[in-house]
Amino acid sequence: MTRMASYEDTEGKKMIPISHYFRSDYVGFNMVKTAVSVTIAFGIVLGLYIFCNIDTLLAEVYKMDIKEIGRKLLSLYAVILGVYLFVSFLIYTYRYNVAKKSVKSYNNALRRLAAMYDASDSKL
Amino acid sequence: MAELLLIKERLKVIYGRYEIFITPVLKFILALITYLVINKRLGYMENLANPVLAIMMALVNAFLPVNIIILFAAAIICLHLYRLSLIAAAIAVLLFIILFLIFLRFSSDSAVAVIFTPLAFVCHVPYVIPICLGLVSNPLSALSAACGTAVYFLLTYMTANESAIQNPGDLPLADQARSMISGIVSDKTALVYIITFAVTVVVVYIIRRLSINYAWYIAIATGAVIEIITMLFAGAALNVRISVPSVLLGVLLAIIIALILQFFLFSVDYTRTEYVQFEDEEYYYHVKAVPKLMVSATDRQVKRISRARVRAHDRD
Repeated sequence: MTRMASYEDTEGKKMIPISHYFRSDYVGFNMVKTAVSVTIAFGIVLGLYIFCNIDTLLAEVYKMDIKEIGRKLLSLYAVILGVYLFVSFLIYTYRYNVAKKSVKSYNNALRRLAAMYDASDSKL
Repeated sequence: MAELLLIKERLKVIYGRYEIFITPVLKFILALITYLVINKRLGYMENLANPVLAIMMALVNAFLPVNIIILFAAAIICLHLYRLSLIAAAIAVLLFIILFLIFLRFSSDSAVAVIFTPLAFVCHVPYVIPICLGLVSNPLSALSAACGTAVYFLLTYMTANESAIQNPGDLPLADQARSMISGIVSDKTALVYIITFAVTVVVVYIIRRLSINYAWYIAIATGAVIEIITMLFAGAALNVRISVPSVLLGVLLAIIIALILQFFLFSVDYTRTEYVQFEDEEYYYHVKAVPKLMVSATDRQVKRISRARVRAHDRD
């Protein structure tokens, strides 16, 4: 019981909530969060680039092929997003598997404890 | 060795007994050192640089999760930079947001390395960080070390160019931002450190996890060699001048600190290794069990056995 309480307070604090999810839900939810993060970061970098080069951009805005630039930006964004989503898929799948393994022995201990309680109840 | 193990056991007992006090005190010390270092290096906002304020903030941090120190430190940096220049503060804020969004969210377990890395740079022992992270954390902690390195070099750039940043002349805001960003990005030293740290963390982690005897010692030694080689190669590839004696000295210090860490976290006796097999309902286990090196601390209890004092006149 002491070990179980200690696990709940330390490693289990992170592992137990993860193990409550289905794998696809946990990984999917975190991939969505990654996509949002990458989108915001990309927006910030793009905004900063536009701000730093505002004079040049304003001077040449009429000569620019906006469609082509938009296409290039979108493909760059898609590549970065794809890489990050792939990395985040690997990381969160690994984390889910580790959490499941970690919680397994805790669940076994819980089962044994429940059996002990049942046994003592039946004696009474 | 036995004496050292005894000291370790005593420290463990003391920590176990007073953990409720020791942990907040350690957090307080870490936060205080962080804030004082930031105030010493930047210190543009005089009110914020007051040590009493740093002590008060560190006191608050003592009772909050350790990652909150990063938040406070980032806020202090931005406020100091705001006094220096609005653009500098804006760039720092955006850099922190980007670092958080694309790096730190993957390595929240080892986010405290973001604080330790700049502190290690300030103490001239940056090579300690990747070896220690490889020993105690996972490969993702390289991201935290990379963030810490980026923050350190941002602050270095700001302090080195403070007069130019403070007095930009008639330069428009966009040009100021552009020159600042190009100044930060053009310094490839940060990139050399980031590459070195990433490679070292991964190598140390992989070797440390191997099921071989003396894995931690081998990991430390290999990590040190890899660190030197990567530093020199990355420096040569990116045209950054690297001082070989300082790298060697730094790595030597890193080895000493890593060995101390290893002594406290993983001192085992490989001569008494056992190989056992057992099974449960679902698995067969083939286990290599390496006993920990332990010395039981003597618990001396002095019990006085003496007769009760008898007054002199009673004896008579």
